Amino acid sequence: MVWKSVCCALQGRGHLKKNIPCQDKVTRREENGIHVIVLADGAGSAVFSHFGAECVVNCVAEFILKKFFDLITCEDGHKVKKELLSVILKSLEEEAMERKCLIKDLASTLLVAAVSDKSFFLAHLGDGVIGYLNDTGLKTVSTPDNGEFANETFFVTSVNAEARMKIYKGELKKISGFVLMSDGTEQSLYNKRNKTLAPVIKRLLHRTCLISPEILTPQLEDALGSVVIDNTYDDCSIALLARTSEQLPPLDELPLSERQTLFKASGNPLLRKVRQIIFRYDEICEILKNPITLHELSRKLHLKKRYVKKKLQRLIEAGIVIRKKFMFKIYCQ
Amino acid sequence: MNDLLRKQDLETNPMTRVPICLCLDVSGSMGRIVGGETRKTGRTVEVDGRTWDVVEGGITALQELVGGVNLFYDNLLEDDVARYSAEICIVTFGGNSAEVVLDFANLERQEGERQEKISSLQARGETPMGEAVNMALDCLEERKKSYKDSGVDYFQPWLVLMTDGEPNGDVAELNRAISRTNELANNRKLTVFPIGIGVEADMSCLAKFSPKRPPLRLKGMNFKGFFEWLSSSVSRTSQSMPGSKIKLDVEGIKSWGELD
Repeated sequence: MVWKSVCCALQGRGHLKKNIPCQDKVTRREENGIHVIVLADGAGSAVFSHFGAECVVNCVAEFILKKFFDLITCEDGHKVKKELLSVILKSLEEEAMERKCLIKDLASTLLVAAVSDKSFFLAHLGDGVIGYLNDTGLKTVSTPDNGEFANETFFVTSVNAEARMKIYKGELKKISGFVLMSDGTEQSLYNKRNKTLAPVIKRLLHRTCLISPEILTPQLEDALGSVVIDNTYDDCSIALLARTSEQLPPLDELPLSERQTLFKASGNPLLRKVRQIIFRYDEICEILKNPITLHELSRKLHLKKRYVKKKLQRLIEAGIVIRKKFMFKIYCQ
Repeated sequence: MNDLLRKQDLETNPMTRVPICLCLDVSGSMGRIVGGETRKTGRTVEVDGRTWDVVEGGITALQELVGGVNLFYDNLLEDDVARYSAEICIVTFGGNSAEVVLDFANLERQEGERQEKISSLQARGETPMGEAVNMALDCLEERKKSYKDSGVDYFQPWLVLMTDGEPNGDVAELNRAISRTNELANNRKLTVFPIGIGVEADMSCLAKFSPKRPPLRLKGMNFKGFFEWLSSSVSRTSQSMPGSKIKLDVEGIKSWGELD
C-alpha cells in the first residue's frame, strides 16, 4: 500500500499575543519510494529559531530522501547520529552566516519518520512525541526528552545533541502509521502520565490515507486551531504518515455511515434515495481505482458528462478523488 | 469546525506547576510597630534579645507581611493560568522552631485554610532560620517527587526567604541550609529570593543563601510592592514555553526593593 502524509503547524496563543512568528515547522516529502515527515520546534529562547526550524526540516528531509537506505543498513548508530547532526549543523552554519547570527540563535528540536515499502527510520531530539500504529493499536515510540524542569529541553545545537538523540530503524511489518507532534500538540494528544497517544490519532491517520493533503491540511489546521490551541500557549504542530491496513481500511471496506461522512452526502442513510447517492459514489470510486478521463468515466457509468462532472467535483472537494490534468483517480491507493 | 477532532477527543494533562515556598520570619521582632497611631503604655519587654517599649494600637511588621501574602494569593487567583499553575507552601520561623503553616496544594483548595492559618500567625520568640530553610527545602523536594510520580511537569522551584533580623537557631542547621541552598541554586535547581525587612535584617547572612542573586532590602514596609512583583513574575513563568529562558523583571524590583 502507498504511504500518504499530511502535516501542519499553528502559531500558539503566547506567540500570537507577543507577535512572535510560529516556531514550529513541518515538512513532508516523497521521492523514489521514500516518504519522510519532519517536525522541528524552534527554541523559545533563540531569536531566529523559526528560521532555524525551517532550515532543519528542509535539510533533514532532503538528506533522508537521499540516504535512507544507507541509514537503515548502517549498523553503527553513533555514525548515523553524527552524520545527521553534521548535515544539520552545516545547514545551520550557512543560515547563521546569511542571518548574521549565532548558530544557537537557530536552535530547534527534531522529530523524523521515514519509510520505504519495507523499512522505517525514526530520529528524535528534544521534546515532542513520536508514535506509531500497528495491528494491535497505537504505541508511543519516543517520549519527550526534557530536563528536570518544564522549560528545559535539548536542541540540535546543544553540546550533548548526539548523546540525547534517539534513532530507531526496522522492518515495517504490520506498522501502518507514524505520528510526530510538538510539545504544544502533546498537551492535547498525548497522555503524559500514562505515556500513551490519544485514541483520536488513529482517526487522523485514517484520514491521512483517505483524503488528499490539499483538502486534509486545512481541515487539520482548523481542527488544531479550534480545539488543541486552547490547551496551551505554545505553537502546535503535527505530522502524520500512513498507509491503509486492517486498522486503517480503504474506502471500499468502510461501513456505509463512514463512507457517507467522507462523501459529505447528507440525509438519513435509512432512506433509499440517500443510499443510492452513496452507492453511486461507491461506483465512481471503484472505477477510479485506475486513472481515467471524464469522458471515459461518463461512458462507463452510462451517464451524461455534465452529471458525472458534478459528482466528480463533489468527490474532489471531499479529497477522495484527485485530478491530474485530464485524468481522475481515487486518492486512497 | 470539522469532525477530525472534538474537545472530548483530547487528553487532559495537568497544568505545568510553579512550586513556591515562602519561608517567613515570625520571630518576636516582627511584632514591632511599623505604622499607624500608637500610645505608649510605659511598660517594656525583652524579646528576641532586645528591650522593647510596649505600645497600644499601630500596625506590626507581621500584619504588613500577612497583608502582602494575602495580596500575593489574591493576585494569583485572579490570573487564569497562574491560579492553576502556582502552588504555595508557607514555612515560618519564630518561637523556638520552624513550622509548615500551609503545605503545598492547589491554590483554590488551600483557600479556606489559608485565610485562617495566615491571619492567626503570631510574632514571638527567636529566629531559627536554618531550621526553617531546611524544612522549606524538604517540602520542595517532596513536592517535586509527587509531581514526578504523577507525571506532572513543573518549573524550577522558588524559595522566598524573608527576615527582619539575624538567625539565632542551631549553627549546624544554618550551615546545612546554606550549603543545600547554594548547591541547588548553583545547579539551577532552585531560584532563591532573599529579602531583608527593615534596617536590622542581616543582609550578609541572607547573601550566603543566594550565590547568584544578591539579597534585596524591602523599601520601608513595601510588602505590597514585593508581592505584586512576585505574583506577576509567577504569572509570566506559568505562561513560558519549553526552551524559553525565564527572565525576571529586574526593573520592576526597583519599585519595592533596594541593594545594600
